[in-house]
Amino acid sequence: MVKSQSNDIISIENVSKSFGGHLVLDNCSLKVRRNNITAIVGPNGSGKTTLFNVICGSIKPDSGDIYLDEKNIKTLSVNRISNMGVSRIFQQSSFFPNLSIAQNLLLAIDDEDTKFVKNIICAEPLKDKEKIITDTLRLLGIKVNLEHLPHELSFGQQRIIEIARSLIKPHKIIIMDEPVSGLSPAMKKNMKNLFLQLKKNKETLFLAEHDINFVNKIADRIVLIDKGRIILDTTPKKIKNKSLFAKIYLGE
Amino acid sequence: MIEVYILNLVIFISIYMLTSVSFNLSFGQTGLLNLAHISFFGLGAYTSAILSLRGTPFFLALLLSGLMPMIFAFILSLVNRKLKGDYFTLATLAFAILSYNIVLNSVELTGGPHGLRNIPKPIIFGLDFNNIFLYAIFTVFLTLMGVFFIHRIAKSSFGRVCLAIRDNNDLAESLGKNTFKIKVIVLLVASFLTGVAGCLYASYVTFIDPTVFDAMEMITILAIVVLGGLASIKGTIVGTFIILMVPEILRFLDISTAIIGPLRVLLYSLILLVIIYYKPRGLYGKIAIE
Repeated sequence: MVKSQSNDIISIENVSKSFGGHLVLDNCSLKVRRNNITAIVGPNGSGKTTLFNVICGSIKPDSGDIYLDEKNIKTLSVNRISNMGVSRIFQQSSFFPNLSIAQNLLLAIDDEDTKFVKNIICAEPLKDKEKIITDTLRLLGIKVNLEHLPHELSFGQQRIIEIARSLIKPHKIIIMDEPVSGLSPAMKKNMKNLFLQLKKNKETLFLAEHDINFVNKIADRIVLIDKGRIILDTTPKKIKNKSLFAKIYLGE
Repeated sequence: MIEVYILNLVIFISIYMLTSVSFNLSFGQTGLLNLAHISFFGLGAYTSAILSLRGTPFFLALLLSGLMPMIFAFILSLVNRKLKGDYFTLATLAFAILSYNIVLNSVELTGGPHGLRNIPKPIIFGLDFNNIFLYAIFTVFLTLMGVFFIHRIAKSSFGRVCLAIRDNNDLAESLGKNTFKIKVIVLLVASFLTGVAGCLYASYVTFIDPTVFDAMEMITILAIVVLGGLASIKGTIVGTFIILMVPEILRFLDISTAIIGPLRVLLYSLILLVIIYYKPRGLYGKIAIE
């Protein structure tokens, strides 16, 4: 009998993490649903980025478990978790600064490039890879000179290229840390349309964001975290009525 | 006589080129500043000398002089798993000093400070490599093979991952690259080719002592790579010619031979400083040295 695929792609169960006695994640439990946009919001220092680091394997939790498609990933390395289908966009724009945009994107396509003997003997299927890149950039509606270096792009373009990179990489879920932070209102509007397009394409996104208006427009679920604890797990429609949310997050 | 002088220069340029191109793979391409690179050269030279003096066939000695440094490169790779960046470089410096002292004090095996003499020159397929012309052809041939191999690595998608690791190791890992495995491979390849260069050196000069481990020689290799430009094979080739040809001028000046050695190191250090300050990308590099 074929086992049906669970609706939850990531399941975080009772995860705690402290740094030097300071509890950053306090018995966190959370499920991220497939083909959904889940947004996690909370004040600075509430534990959002640490939670992402724990999921991606760059920080190991003190206790608790993290499941990706029902496989416990809490002890796995960053690259193994990545190859299991976790794409990530960091809070700060993150590129290989001396490599062209094309090279930055080529690196995301697969991990065949780490195979030494194969790569020395065989030629790289560059045309197939370039097609993946141009198709993705067309989907995102961005035109850039692929031979440019990352620093030659505007901040907004850099953010979209990072999204392109996370889409090009074989993935089941994309984790985004403040993807629209620092963007102009016009650029945010573009990004909103882009996220709605991704939603239509049934992408699974798990993002941290401070801009509540933006989150309300794109997310299926909103999770509120404060002092390392998950306080609320609700939908954008309901959130406006939640006084607790207003008290913690907006300081009202 | 002039032919001998030129052929001698060709042999030394080839040996340095192979050593420097290998170093460029680890430092320029992958960002691993391995100051024990010269120890790989020394290990290759001593392995070849010890085996040749005991009658081992040359090709077997050549192969083992490449394989022996690989063992030490693997140990260094394990160090790199825990220590990154400057800490890794410091660990490699400690390794270089340690290997120098081990060779210096293992008198029975290495001859200690007196070194090893009368290392036989190879005779391959009946060809006597005491003939300097034949030895020059052999050295150039092996060097070209080594350079071509590294060129293949650098231009492959594997080479691109190496550049990515040099630029941003954490990001490379988050894109699914096993950065540890790649660094191990790079150090193994670099150590093998450098060990072979050490073997070519020992067989040519027929005498080696612990100075082949001398950390000062790293300045020469660093100067070549930095002058040529990081991750540029063309730059390293041109850099080798320049760095090895410049001190030749000193030969024609009326300077005591006792001073020429230190003057050479001083000159290389000066070139290194000038390049880092005024032309951090070197002659052909795309990346500035930081």
